[in-house]
Amino acid sequence: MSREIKLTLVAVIALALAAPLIFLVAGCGGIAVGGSGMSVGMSLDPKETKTEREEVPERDRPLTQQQIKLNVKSFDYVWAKIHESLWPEILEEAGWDGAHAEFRPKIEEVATMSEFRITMSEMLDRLQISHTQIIPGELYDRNLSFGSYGKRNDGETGISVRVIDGQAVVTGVREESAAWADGVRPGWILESLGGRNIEEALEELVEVYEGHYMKDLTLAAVTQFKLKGDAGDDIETVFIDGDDKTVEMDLILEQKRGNEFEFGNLPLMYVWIDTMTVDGDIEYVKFNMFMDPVHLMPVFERAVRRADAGRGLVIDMRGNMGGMGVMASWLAGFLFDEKGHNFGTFKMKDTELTLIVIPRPNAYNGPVAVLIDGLSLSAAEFFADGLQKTGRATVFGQRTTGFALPSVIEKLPNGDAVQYVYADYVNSEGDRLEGRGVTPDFQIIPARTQLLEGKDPVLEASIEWIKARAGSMEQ
Amino acid sequence: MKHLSSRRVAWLVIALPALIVAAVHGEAMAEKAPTAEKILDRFVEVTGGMKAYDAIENRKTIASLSISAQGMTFNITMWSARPNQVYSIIENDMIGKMEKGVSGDVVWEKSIMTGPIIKSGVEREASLRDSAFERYVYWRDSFETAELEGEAEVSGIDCWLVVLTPETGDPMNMYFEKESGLLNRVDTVTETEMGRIPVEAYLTDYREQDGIMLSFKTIIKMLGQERVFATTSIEQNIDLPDGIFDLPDDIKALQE
Repeated sequence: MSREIKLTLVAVIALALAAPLIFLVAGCGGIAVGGSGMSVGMSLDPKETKTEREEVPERDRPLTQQQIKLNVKSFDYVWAKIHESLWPEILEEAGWDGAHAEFRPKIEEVATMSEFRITMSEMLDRLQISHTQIIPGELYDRNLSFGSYGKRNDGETGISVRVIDGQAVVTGVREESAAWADGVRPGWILESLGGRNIEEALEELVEVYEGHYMKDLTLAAVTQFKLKGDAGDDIETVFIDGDDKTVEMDLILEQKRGNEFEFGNLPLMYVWIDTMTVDGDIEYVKFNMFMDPVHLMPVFERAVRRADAGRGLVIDMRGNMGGMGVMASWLAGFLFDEKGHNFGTFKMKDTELTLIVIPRPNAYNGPVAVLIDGLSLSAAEFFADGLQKTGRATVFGQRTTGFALPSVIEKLPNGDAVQYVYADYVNSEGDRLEGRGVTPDFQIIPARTQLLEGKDPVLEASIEWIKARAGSMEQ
Repeated sequence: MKHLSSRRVAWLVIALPALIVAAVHGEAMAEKAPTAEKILDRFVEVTGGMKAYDAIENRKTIASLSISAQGMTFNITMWSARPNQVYSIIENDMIGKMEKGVSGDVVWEKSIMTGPIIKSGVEREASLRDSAFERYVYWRDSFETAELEGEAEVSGIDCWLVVLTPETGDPMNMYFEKESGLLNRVDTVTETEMGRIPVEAYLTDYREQDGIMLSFKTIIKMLGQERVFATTSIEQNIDLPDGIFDLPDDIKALQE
């Protein structure tokens, strides 16, 4: 092996840990969020009924013999790859050896691609871990709009929704959005979506997921991820406003904001980062994914440099879906002025790699608050946990889901892709995050009344903490 | 006189013939097998000879590293020169540009992801070792010992397995093809600040360039995935760009 190769490998080794991404697709006739017991046969999409479609989508057309062969080949590949990558306890618990004999005949019998994906999800669900899923091949076609899950997914409403006390409550509305212009405000309750009553749908899910670590994520996903689709489309919604009156409106899906970003075998993503100054001189930064480092990192760095001149820094990870795991440590480099810190370890079958923090010159050393919630996932969990356990930040909000395993995405012979886990992850204290999540130092659950008053109690608590810290430092 | 127990007798009956066969076979191997030195020297010879290697002062390599499982490809441009100077640019649209260099005893790296870094510890040591110009050709300078470990079949080709052990760092298992004398496979450990990673590299597509044979395609197996390092072009004994191995200003600033 030449000098050229060895030196290059060392340089790009970190990128081996690049993609423990949660990628959520609404598919297989319902919500499919990885092979984690999340393939719920429930649709909230008005276009899901076949009678309303002009033509049968590709995924529901009868398979040719060639497609069946490719599906079987893909099945064999997925089964073997997972067998090779995962650690024995999980495979044993899932009955993985027996799963091959059980599911292969089923795969040979499926009549459509939808059925293939449902059957595959059924098998993957047995693993009960995150980051394990089939990604429909259609998602890779940027020009194709199809069915309920296969949207171009380039549209969004600008609304954030979380489940609070069994209701889907609007927790944020982007002020530049059409929804804001139409009067939608935080604290409103999303009563129905596409003609489907949300509360009833949530009740169904609570029954299925009671006690499951991904219950909160599932509930939020049902609403949050159904508020997306093709730009230009609209979604029929019914809200309960601040005066408890019913408001019906067709929400327009506007072009997603952010940089278009393609990473390896992942479908197209939109990455954005917002910064602002709050309470006079406290810097606030929020971004939606740990992706697109070329654009994101310089903006993050500028925010950190500004924080240096103020009282503190708030990093809002609420709703951050993760991304490149190693980016958590890259960003943290701006917040540590000495070496020797690490966030955790990726444990593979033949080796272990540590997520080390590489300090930047002139790193920021003032107070840092990190905000989290049930939709802070994956790399966002590495980041929040790492900063918390090293004592570098104080964490506010709600416990994260524990959706924290490194994975890769590989294309399959039939055109779909598989995301599978290749390592376990434990934090610097030796604890797994998967299934446990990050527990905030200060747990704060926003109440609807607070949201209706235009308050963000999590952000406010973090600002108060920073002010108190700054005050005590001055003294 | 002590009597041997029946179990001991049985063991000797089984084991002795095996030991005799092994000894005879070992003798035959020793007669047949070349020494590690000879295998390494033959590799130098079949790839061009020491005179041809001695004539190479520097090299510019343009290549790509593809990780098909992750759908990623990096473009690489690397300049290197005797004795151990290296400057490389690794880039793609997703991660931007990474620069890495070895200049004297300084190993550095910079990118938008990590900022400027001067490497220390195991990664520095490993990079300094790996940056030596034609390390396997001038193996007597770079390794303490070279030992023939035995025979092995690699991808259906009969090979000699030679273990090269440096003064510091891990030994390297080198598989040389018996017939052609070419290096077919290298097993080693890549040391980084993040951890130690076992690597298998399969060297293929040897082509002649300025009198020496170089592998233009290497398949690398590590972390459960396959990577392909494909060389597009190699230029040797070129006029190097001015200051190509100089430390960048932000690296110099770190030194201060």
